[in-house]
Amino acid sequence: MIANMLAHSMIVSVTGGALLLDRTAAFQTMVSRPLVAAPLIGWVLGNPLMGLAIGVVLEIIFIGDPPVGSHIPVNETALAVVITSVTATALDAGGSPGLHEVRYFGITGALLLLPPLLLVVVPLNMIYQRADALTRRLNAGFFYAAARSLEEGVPVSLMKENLKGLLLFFLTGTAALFITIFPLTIAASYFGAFLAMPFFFSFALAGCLILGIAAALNAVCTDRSLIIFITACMGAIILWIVR
Amino acid sequence: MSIRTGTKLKVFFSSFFIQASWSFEKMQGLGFAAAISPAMKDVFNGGRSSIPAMRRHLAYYNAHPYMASPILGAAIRLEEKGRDAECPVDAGARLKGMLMGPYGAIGDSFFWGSVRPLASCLGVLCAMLWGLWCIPVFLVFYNAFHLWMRWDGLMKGYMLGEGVVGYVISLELPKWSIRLRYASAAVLGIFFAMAAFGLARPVMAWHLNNQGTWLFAGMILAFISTFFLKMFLRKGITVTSLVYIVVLPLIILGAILR
Repeated sequence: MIANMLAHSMIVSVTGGALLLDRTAAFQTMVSRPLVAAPLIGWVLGNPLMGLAIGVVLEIIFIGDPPVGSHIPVNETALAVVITSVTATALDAGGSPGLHEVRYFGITGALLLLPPLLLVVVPLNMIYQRADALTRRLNAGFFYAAARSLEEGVPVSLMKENLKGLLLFFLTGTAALFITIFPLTIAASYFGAFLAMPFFFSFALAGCLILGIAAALNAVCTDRSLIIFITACMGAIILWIVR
Repeated sequence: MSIRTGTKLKVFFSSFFIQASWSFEKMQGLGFAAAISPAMKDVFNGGRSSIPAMRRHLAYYNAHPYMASPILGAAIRLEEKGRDAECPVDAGARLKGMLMGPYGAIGDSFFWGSVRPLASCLGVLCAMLWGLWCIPVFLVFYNAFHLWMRWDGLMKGYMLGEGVVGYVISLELPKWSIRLRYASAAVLGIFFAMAAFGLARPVMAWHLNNQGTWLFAGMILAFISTFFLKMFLRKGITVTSLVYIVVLPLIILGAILR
């Protein structure tokens, strides 16, 4: 059983480590956003819709923390990877029948595990931020190595030196994910039955969504955005009622 | 002599790795030098003759990663001009130093502050309507802006040289940034209405028998809560703190109402 959990944690960590590269190190095509990362991890674990449900909520909660300058924002990719992975384990371990009765846009109540897991996983963000900071400190070494070679007149492949940083980002990201996912997977396999209590968490899920909308609204705040938000909301409600 | 199309493609591809060796000390310095290096080899016919140009560009650099493309293009053009003695040899490096600050700010505000939130809002709305199809919608919408800036910025930068400043001004990105934020607010409003109808109904039906009355009461409560939470965020309280402030009491409430 431990071997299975180890394999599960390693697969998720390596996939997550590759997704983490998109945040800073390469491409920035947004495949690292929770809306994409969580369903992808869900797909790896055999349930992409579960991942999507988690990804939607995390996407709007962490919509407004951009990586400006040397600021390292909340690692929403790592949170999405860990929460999706642990949810899958918890459901396998002891999903109560109640969880499968609830459906929200066609997705089972696995979403209701999100609030308690968010409380557990958010403090782990510190580990991911530290791993990121460590990489960014070590990366300076590649710069100086390249500079020394050029000073000495040695033609050096700058791209090769640059890609060493990419490898470092991958290794530290994967390691940070693994050291958090593995213990949480073990815990979830034992306490999954306790987590699977939808009535406890339904209000908290609504709270998460409201917090997400508030965060998103705050991220796009301009002089007129509140008026536009209220008008669009009222318009949608009226259309819904009339229809 | 202009650089080859293959070299332009190499620079374009390398620009995706401009933050690969991001460091606190030199930021994207190595990434920028690595991205421009294929062009420098072409401009100075490879080998040791390109080393001085590489050294010029291996320096502190930090801007928005997508906005590096117009700077890369312009720097390559100015290196060509410098080689032909049409301008000082370090004109490209100096232009890069001058533009990174303003372009960083413009890129952060436009891409991180406007395009990404709009793509996210569209993505979550589409998730409610079309499930997993939201992923291609989100990625295609976002990357249309992203890849356009990477490719067109590089080409225009190379074509215009120092004239790239006028090109970026002509795009009016700050003005578009505001418009995209308006669009995000509208999409968010629709998402709020749908989430309230979609989620409040089953949640209320679970805990309370009178669904209709409580649905509207719940929506009004959600509306007020949204504005309160937004106010807290404006005052500088972080999202992670609010997760605890909001989620923990609601879990306890759920346990009591059970």
